[in-house]
Amino acid sequence: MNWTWFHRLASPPHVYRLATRLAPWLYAGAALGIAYGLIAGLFFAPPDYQQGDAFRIIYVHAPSAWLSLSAYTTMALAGAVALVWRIKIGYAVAAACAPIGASFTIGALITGSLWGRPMWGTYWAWDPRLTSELILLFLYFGIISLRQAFDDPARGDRAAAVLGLVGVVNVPIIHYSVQWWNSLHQGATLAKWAKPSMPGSMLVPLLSVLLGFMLFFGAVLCTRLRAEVLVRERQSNWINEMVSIP
Amino acid sequence: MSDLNYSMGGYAAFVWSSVALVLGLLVWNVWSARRRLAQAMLRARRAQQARAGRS
Repeated sequence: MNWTWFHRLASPPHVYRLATRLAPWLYAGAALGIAYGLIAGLFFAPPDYQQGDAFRIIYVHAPSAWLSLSAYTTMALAGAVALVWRIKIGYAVAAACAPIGASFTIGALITGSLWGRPMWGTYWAWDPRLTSELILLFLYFGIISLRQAFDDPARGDRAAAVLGLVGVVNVPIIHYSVQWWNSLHQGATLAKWAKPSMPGSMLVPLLSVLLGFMLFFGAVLCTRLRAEVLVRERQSNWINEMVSIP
Repeated sequence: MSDLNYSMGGYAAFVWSSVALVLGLLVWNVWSARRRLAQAMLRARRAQQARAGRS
């Protein structure tokens, strides 16, 4: 099997060009998936038999929570690749993931809180799922701050990658917290091996928004990655044609 | 359009504020990423101009 395409992913000019080409398609796919899913979920899906129309918060809460975990996993993997194989583009990917993941962790926490108030009678409880998601937010803040805390950017990148790897233990804790401990939070709506706990008319819009959010993550990651590559490679010869000096 | 369920069965404040927040996050992410790219482009252009001036 020819692995050239894979090895080229370590090359900043190749990644920059790839991100430039992919981003518009990812933004377009994200817009379609999110628009269809939100319209169908908010207006045309039937109300839940227990939660009524309040369940519709799932169409923004679950994708935000999923994106917060996906961004963290991507960031930790990219950091690991950079640390183990000394592939510098991994640090750029990790740096690009952090603000996206942090913003959607805030989104997941606030929308969860707004869902919790009518369903549980409180905006916040020190529940395992909520607490571990809050820890995820602090991890994101810590990683972003740590990267900027060093005068030498390379040391900042390494320190942030190590903290990212240490913190990845929190990802399965968040995911399985509703099974491992008594939790106010409902169980998984979508599980790998189990039948979904909602009918198709509710599920299809949710899957559409989830797919849209994943594409959105990819699109914003491409844009942020281009910025990271430009900053890190600004003294390189190949940058000259990218920034097109008149 | 008038048949659409804007009142959300009495949960409108919770549902619509959640939707507004997440839509705001989507917009903020696009805006901040594009702003960062524009700043990086400017820095790279200046660095390249400085290099060209030195050589």
